[in-house]
Parts: sequence; structure tokens; C-alpha cells
Amino acid sequence: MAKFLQVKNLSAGYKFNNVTVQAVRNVSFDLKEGEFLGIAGESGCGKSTLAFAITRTLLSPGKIFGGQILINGKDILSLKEEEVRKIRWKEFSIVFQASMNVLNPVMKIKEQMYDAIIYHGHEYGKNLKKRAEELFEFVNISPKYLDAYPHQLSGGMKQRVVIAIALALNPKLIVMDEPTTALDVVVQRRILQEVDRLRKTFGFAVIFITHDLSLLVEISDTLAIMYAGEIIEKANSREIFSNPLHPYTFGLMNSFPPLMGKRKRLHGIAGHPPDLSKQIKGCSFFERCSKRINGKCDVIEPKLVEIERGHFVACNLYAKCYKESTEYGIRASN
Amino acid sequence: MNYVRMFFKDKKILVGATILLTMVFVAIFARYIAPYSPHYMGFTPLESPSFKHILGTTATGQDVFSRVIWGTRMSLAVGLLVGLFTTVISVILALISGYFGGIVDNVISLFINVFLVIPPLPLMIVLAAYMPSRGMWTIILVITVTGWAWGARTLRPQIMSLKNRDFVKASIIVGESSFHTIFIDILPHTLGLIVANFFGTAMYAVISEAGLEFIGLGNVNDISWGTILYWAENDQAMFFGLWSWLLVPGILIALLGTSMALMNFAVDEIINPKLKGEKNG
Amino acid sequence: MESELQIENGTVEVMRVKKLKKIFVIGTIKKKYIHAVNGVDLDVKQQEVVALVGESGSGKTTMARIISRLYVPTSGEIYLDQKKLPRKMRKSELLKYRKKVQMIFQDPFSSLNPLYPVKYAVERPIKVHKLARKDEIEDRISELFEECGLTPANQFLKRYPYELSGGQRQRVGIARALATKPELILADEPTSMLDVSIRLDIMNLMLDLKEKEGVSYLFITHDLAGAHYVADRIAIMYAGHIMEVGPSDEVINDPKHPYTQLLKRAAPKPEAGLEPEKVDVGGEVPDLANLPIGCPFEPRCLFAKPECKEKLPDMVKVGKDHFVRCVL
Repeated sequence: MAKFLQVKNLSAGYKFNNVTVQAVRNVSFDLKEGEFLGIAGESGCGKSTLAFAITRTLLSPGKIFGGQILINGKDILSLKEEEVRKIRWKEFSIVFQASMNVLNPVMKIKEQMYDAIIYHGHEYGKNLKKRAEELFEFVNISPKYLDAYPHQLSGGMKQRVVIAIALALNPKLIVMDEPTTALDVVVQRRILQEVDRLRKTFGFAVIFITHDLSLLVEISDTLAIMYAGEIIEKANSREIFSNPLHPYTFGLMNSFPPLMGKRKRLHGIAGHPPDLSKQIKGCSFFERCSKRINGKCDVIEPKLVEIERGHFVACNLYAKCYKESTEYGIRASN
Repeated sequence: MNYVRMFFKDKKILVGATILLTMVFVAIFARYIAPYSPHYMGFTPLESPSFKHILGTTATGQDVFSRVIWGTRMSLAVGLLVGLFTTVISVILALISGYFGGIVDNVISLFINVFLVIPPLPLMIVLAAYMPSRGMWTIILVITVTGWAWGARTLRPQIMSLKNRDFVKASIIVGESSFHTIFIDILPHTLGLIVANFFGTAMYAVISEAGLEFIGLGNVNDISWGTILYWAENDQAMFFGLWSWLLVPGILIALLGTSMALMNFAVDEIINPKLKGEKNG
Repeated sequence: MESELQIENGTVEVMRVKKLKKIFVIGTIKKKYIHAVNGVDLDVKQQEVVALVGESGSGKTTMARIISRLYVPTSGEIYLDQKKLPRKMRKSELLKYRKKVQMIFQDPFSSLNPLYPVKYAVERPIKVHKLARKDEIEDRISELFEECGLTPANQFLKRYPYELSGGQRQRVGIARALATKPELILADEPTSMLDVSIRLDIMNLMLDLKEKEGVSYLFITHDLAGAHYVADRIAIMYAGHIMEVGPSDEVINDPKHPYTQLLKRAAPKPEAGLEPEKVDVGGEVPDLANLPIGCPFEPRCLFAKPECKEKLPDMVKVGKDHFVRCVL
């Protein structure tokens, strides 16, 4: 399948008066058409900044420091704001964590849906109502709710309305930033299943960003783990679950207690992530890592390298990775 | 800590405070700054500004400049005292209403709303006209009665939302007394708003006082910028071309109002950075 | 039924609630009655962790607030150390109660007063309940900080909440709850706002403190796996009713109530096989202002029978300490 989205060496962050926070550091990845990519990480790891950057919605004081984002080979970072607006919602759309609060409380749902559709293109001009009903059926809400006001809907339903709006113009990619975090487990599962079903029907790709790794493992094709602004491991989600290579991923995987089976003591990862407003030397996970090698990990910054087929990891424990990183490190320092 | 530095960095505060402090200085040392006694009536009446009388003289032969200097006292006193009284009233009512809720809250809210919908100027005029005695304290009382409600209105929802914050619940569960919870845990969070509110009503008081005095509802024998204007109008200063008699007290009232408004805005901005525009998220 | 709930294994009961109800009245003219808690019986024994699991709107947080006496229940009884609490408590009685029942909050960012150094949070309960001599207060605070994993204590005492990470703040919150040496700690979703890698440590800390200090917990959560990890018993709450209560392992491995089964299927479980389970999760949580007379779960239940609509099912004993509110 063709590569739909390519992110190359993307760096982004926030610039305050005299502090620069490097929230996304040198991130590269590809996304195939129709792929479900999960990005997981703790709060402050830069995953939301990444979502903003990809969709060109990073607002001041946020800044993109460098890199490329190619959608169908077109670099969207070089586009003007108006040009981005033309392709936003058609090529890609966005669902944010607080999206359900975006709905205007004094407007009927249907008017808001029509607005969104008309604003971004006239394709459905005459059949607005039909299209809106159709979209509601996609997300499993009875079309009678088109005449309701937002407060008459539950949180889960509102989030589904927002997803329906995101689907309105048949985008090829939907970026979802923690869309289910505020919802209950049962509702969460239901929405995820619906997104997955719609993806398989319409063939759009999904980037799903969350801190809740356990759900992602079940649903996404590919899983990327972010730590301190970098992708430190990326692989097929089953692979990453059964065979985590990075010590951080390993720790994360063991951080949620299993639902079934015998109860036994587990341990999380001690410490906390580094301050992203400061330069990080060596591996960003060094401080918390249980397998760190002094003199190696605190000096050489590991590069994301394909260790096994389709399994990328950035950790000096792996010879191949260490070798490339040293070369990279030496080249970089020259 | 942080606030102190912001205080000095902020140009609005700097300008506002400079004006206010200058006036306070003038008010305190009026005795030494004013060249003549404000009550002395022995000068030639209705004289134009000259070196001897910078702002000219009144119809009864008083030195306008000396009267203006002495008048600073009352204008400032009314502004600051009304600011103080309204703040105390509104803080107490807002605390009781916001913290305890229920019926108490309903009653106090009703009370606040009634005072908010009554147009202040007519009420002030009616009150001032029927007061048994006239003078500064009457005016302070009248303006306080008509001016406290807005502060209580803005503070009450703040207290209510603070009360629902977890750290306040934690205090209650720890077993703190209501007194401690209200004054140590909640009140400090609203200090900014209270200070902003103080300057807001002080500005309102300065202008209202001038208005009341101007239409003769104060004691016309008091010396304040408002009464100077009253006499200027009464004795047809315009007709005699004595512009300075009218203009200078008017400008000073505007200036004092401005300084208090500046402080109000600046404190507002410090406690609510969003007002400052895009900076800081 | 109440006597049935009395458990025979000899341990001391710390807290018991009987037929606890809370109805919120909203609006002044057009009144709306929100039935948040509808007659809950529950007990917590010494050194026991009972998890109260439910979705939002199930009434679990209201339960915690009633037990912590932030809310007054509409009806029902609360027993502490087998003694019934009066509906209205005198100040001194309330203070004694507060000493014995403490709380950990969901949001570590809002549960500490941002204006004071974190030491303040732990110092207050000691002062309010006069738990240490003046010259010993400092030592006691340090001791509590270190007990909760904030070592060395003097590195943390004078710092402000915003200078600490979420996990560290939650530890301060736990130290505050522990300061009065309570018998029962109400933990209202203490890990749901924390990062995944930190959650386990907080739960471990709570378990360690249970062993060391002999404290009991009412652990309120929506996370079934987390509940299974910390709790000895699990109570499943739905629309203000307890639907199932029993020993953790039994409730998880052999859930009897259709709602528990639904929760279990919906919970993420990456460890279970390769094919993600398709869960049929239709329907919405019932409107609490307008509850059905029968079983509140009936509209969503796959096994609903006609009689479910008519009458709320009774609690049925299905195993040792294991009860289910279902006709099945």
C-alpha cells in the first residue's frame, strides 16, 4: 500500500519568553493508506504536540522547528494557511480530546453539521440533510438526534457527533488525540470499535493518540511509543506487546495489572521524564532505565533503527542500534 | 513573590500608582503646598490667573489654587474610604453567600441583585437629598450603599468555584474549622480580584462624589474638587472667562479616576493573564 | 438480607452503611430529583480494601462524599466501629469522625492548595487534631513524607505543588490522609489522572500502608483491572445500586451479573488472545432523574425477562461473601 503520510525529522515545541520546550524531537514515521497507527506515551511526552503539528493546528506559542510532513508527497508545512484550510477535512481531519465541548450549546446539532459540511466544500450542497443522516448512521446515532441540542446528548454521543463531522468529507486520514479519555470504559470501547469498523468500510487511515496503552494494543495495527518527544519504539502492536524491546516499553507493558489471573505484585517505572526545556544528553530514558549502561547510554543518543522486520527501536542495548547511533553521534558532533 | 515583580514591570500600574501617590502626597502636605488658606476671602474677586493666583480667584475672593490643593484631601478620602467600605461589605457577603450556599445564598443573592438593578445615580440623588445631615460622611455612606453590589456579584461565583476545588474539600475532611477554610484556604486566592475591585469602586466613588457635589447635594461649604466645580458653575466662571477655575478640578477628577482605572485593569490582567492577549497559555 | 451480609470470618468491621440514599434536588420552581444513590448496603472490614467500581453517574463518588460527610444522606444509616452515627453531629463528634475517616482525591493537581508549600497539607491535620507536640510536628511531617516515598523529606517539604510531578503530589495527598492515623481511607479514583507508569506505584504504596498501618480502604474506580489489583472485595455499582459484590477473584473470574460481565468484556485486556473481542455494548446509562421501577440495567440487559421491568431484584447469595442483584 502506498505511503499516505510521511513525517521526516519533525521537531516542534513551544517558545515562551526565553524558554524553548522541545516537545517533539526529530520524529520520523510513515503511515500507509488505511493504517491504524496508535501513538502512546505519558503526559508531556509530546504526543499532542505531534498531533497539532501534523494537522497544522499548532498555535502560538507553539512552533515547528524543523522537518517535513508530506501528505501524498505534498509538504504541508510549506503551504499557506488558506491552502491548508482547503485540504483540511478533505485530506485529513481532527478529533481532539475536548472536541465534544466544541459543539455550540445554543445551536441544533444539524445546523452545526451543515455548517461544517458547507464551510469545507459544496459537494453535498443539495443533499445536506441526507448526508447528515447518513453520517449519523455511520456512527450509530439515530438521525432523530439531528434536531437535538448538544446538552440533550451524553458525552459519548457528543464525541460520536464530532467523529461524524470529521468523516463528513471522506478524509483519508483522521487524527484523534485522546478522543475517549473523558469517557467511560464501556463507551470508550464502543467508540473505538466504531472507528475501527468505519475505517475498514471507508479505508481511511487513523492516527490514534492516547496515554492508555492497553486499549491501543487491542485495536491498532501499528503502535509507536513516545518518550520525551521521541518515538522510542514502533512495531506491529501484537509484536510490541509480546516482545517489547525498549526497557521503557517493557516497563509500560508491565504497568497495568492484568484483569484476569492470579494477583501478584507488579511495579511501575520509578522517576519521571526529563525536562524538555533543557538539552538532553544521551538517551532520554537514561535516568529511569533499569538496564542502562553507564558511559554508553548517557553519552550516545540512540537512533530509531529497524532491529527485526518491521520492529523499530531506539536503544543502545541493541548492537545494531548502538552501532548506527555511534556513527550518527560522531557524524553529528563533527 | 512573582506578583511583586509583575507589579513593577506593568506600565499601567506604574503610571496609575505615580498619579495616585502624587495626589496622596499633595493631600497630606496640603498645608505646605497651598500658598494661602483656602478659606481666606480677602483677595480681589474673579481675578484671572496670574503669578499671585495661579488659577485665579473666586467670586468671594478665594484663591482657587489653594482650594484645589486642599480639595485633593476630600476627593481622595472619599475614593479610598468608599473603596475600603464597599470591599469589606462585598467580601463578607460574597464569602457567606458563596461558601455556605443554600437559603443564605438565595437571600444574599436576591439582595445583591436588587441593588444591582436599581440605577445608582437616581438612588444616590434621592438618598443624598433626604439625608438629615450633609457632608463627607453622608456622601461616603450614599456611594457605599449604591456601590457595593457589583463587587459582591463578581466575587461570589469565585468563592463558589473555589469551594468546589478539591483542596477545600480536603480541608473540610481534615477537620478544619469554617473560619480557617474560608480565610486561610479560600480568601487568599481572591486577593487579586479584591484589589481590582477596590480600585474599581474607588474610581466610581471619586466620580460620583464630584457629581453629587457638583449638583449641590453635598455640603457646599466643604472644600473638594466637586464643590469647587459647584461654585464655579454657580458664580458663572465661564461667563467671566475664568476657564482654569472649571478646567483644573475637572481634569484632576478625570486623572484620579484614570489612575484608579489603570490599577484596576492592571491587577485584573495580572490575575487573569488571558486578558493580556495571546501571550502565556 | 442485612444479616446475610454479616460475614462470618471474625474480622472487625470498620464501616457499614445501610440503605444509604441520596437524592439531589435541582432547580427551585421546576424541581428535578436526581437519585444518585438508591439504598446501598456495604461494609468495610479492618485492613480490607473494598473497591467500588462503576461508570460515571453510577453514584460511586457520591457514596464517598456521603461517607466523608461532605454530603448528608437523604436517608440511611452509617456505622463506624459498629456505632451508629447520628444524623447531625456535634462539632467535637464530627472532629473525631474526621480523624478516623480520611480521603484521597482524584486530581492531585487540585487537591493541594497552590498557595502553600506541600508541607502545609500534612501539617494541618496534625495541628487540627493535636497529634504531636509542637516541637515534634516537623519530625512527624518528615516521617509521613518518607513513609509515602517522598525521600529525603526535606527535599520536598518546602516545595510548592506546581514544582512536583503528578505522582509526587498524589503521594503528598496520601501522606495528608495518613496523618491522622485513620481507620478508613476513602480513595476516590486516586490513580485515574496519573500516568500509566506511575499508577502501579501509587497502588503499591496504598497496599504497603494497609499492611503497615492496618488501614482499610474504600477504593473508588472505573478500572476493573486496577480494582482487581488492589481490592479484597469488589462491589459493582450501577445507577445508584450495588449490582454485585464479592471477593475480587470471584467477581472478576466468574462475574454473575450481566452488567459485571459487560464491564469485564469492555475492559482493555491486551493479554487475552490475539483477536480483539467484539463487545456488544448498546444502550445508555439510565437517566437518574427518571429511574425505571425495575432493574435499572434491564434496558441494556441481554438476558432481561419481563419481571425485570416490574421489580428491583433482591440481592441473592451466590457464593461465600458473594451477592448478586439479579433474577438469573
